[in-house]
Amino acid sequence: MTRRGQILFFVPALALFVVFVLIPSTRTLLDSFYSYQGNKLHFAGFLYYRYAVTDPKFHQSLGNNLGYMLWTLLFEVVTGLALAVGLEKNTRFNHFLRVAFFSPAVLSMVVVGLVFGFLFKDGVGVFPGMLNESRALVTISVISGWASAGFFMVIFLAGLANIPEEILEAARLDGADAWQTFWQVKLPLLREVLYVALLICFTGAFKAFDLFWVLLPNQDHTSIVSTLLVKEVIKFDNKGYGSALAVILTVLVLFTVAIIIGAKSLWLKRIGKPA
Amino acid sequence: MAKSAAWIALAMLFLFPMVWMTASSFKSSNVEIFSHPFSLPHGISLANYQKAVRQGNMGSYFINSLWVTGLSAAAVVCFGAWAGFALSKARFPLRKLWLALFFVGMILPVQSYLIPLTRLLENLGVHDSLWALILPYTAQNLPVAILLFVAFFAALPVELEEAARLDGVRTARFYFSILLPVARPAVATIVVITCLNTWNEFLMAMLFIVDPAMKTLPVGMIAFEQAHNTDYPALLAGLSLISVPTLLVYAIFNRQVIRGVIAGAVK
Repeated sequence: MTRRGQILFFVPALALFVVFVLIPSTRTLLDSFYSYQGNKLHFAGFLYYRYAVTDPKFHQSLGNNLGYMLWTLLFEVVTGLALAVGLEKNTRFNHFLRVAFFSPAVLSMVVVGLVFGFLFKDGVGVFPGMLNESRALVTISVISGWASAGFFMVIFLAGLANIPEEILEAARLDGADAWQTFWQVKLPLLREVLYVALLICFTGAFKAFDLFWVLLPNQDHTSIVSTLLVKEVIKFDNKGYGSALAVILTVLVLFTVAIIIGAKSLWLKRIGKPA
Repeated sequence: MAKSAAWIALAMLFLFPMVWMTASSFKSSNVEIFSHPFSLPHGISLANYQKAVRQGNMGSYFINSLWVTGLSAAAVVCFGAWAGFALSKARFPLRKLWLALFFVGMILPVQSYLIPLTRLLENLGVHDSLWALILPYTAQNLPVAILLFVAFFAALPVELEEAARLDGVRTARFYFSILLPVARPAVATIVVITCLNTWNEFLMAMLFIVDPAMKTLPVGMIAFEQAHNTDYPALLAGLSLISVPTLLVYAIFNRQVIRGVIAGAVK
């Protein structure tokens, strides 16, 4: 293939990505340093970042993000791992069960939110009180777990399928029971998959939006950074602050990814495998 | 035996919200839903589905969603495969830089570029049309597709292209008649991931579309809930209607969906 042909093949994708992702992302960063008054731009420096540091709503949202992260670690990742280990054998029965556990993962989060809203919302709900201030975060995490545990189960099943049969056989010959085999043989071998799962779970906790927006539309105490920034932009037309929050969210996501990738390469170095 | 029973009970618990949603969508009225929330409907009637389509505009939302999903998936596969093919060549200029760029693009949350997109779409004159979703959706889903196609094409034997070149096959023809058919598994994976993502996308659809005639299903459902929040059977009929295509796709293309999920996750 000629050099020119290669570049022609590459240009459409690059152009779409640059115009609709890269330039707007840069723009968000620039906008976060300006305030809008009508159509006039004023350079505001770090005003919006300084405001975020003192904004109790932002503190609460960030706290909720972190809480949600820990709860979904339990309800999505740990549950998914437990399901995968339990349904590891390729039997017809297990196959049916896997389908049951994965199927919520293809639903729209809007559907999930509206259906569970019907069950939990005060006034209409069949189980009222689940979304009040003290319980809302846990309830939403359980709903997320219901929707996503099957997704993590599938990733872990793929990881478990890659464990060589001989290793499990050796563990069996050494007299290891199921519990010991899991902790001392399977889990260490699942480490790579575990990194991926943590990456998806932790970044997902920052990216979350739909469920919070649909289930808890007007409650400040259960806002997260992503719903706070959308509210700032569409309700208060505060683009500068919204952009600053978007930049903070982006940095948090990239930082999380960097930490997990860093931890992974550190571990690879320690066991002497090339990264 | 007890263990199997426990597993079945757990599976029922997982399936319950979906079964409940579908069963309740056949109930005749709010009274029937609220007085016996967990009983089976008295009869199977499609009246609620008719209501959802006629009063709730579900028909037009459904068609909009089909267009947006179909065109986005087609564009992602087409441009993603081209770019993946080009970048799979070791000597492509600045190859490492592009791969890093798309990796970051894959991680970026939509909030990173959401706010300026509204104005950009207005400036492009596509605001409030289906293109206001198709273009960003395509761009958003391209990075995963490109990285997946790069990995797929790079793993193909070099002899494939050399043999074709010796036979005098030109690049474009090599690509369309040899490479794409070979890449069918990767294409299926990308189609599945992109379709699920775009069919269910809510945030951009909510912000970029104001015209009720242009709304897609998730946003349409929210509008329907706000307008008809007293008619729960019809709302649940609408919710079932959105979910049927993805559940059906999952039921039929089970293997591709699972492979897509794994590939998308591990990339």
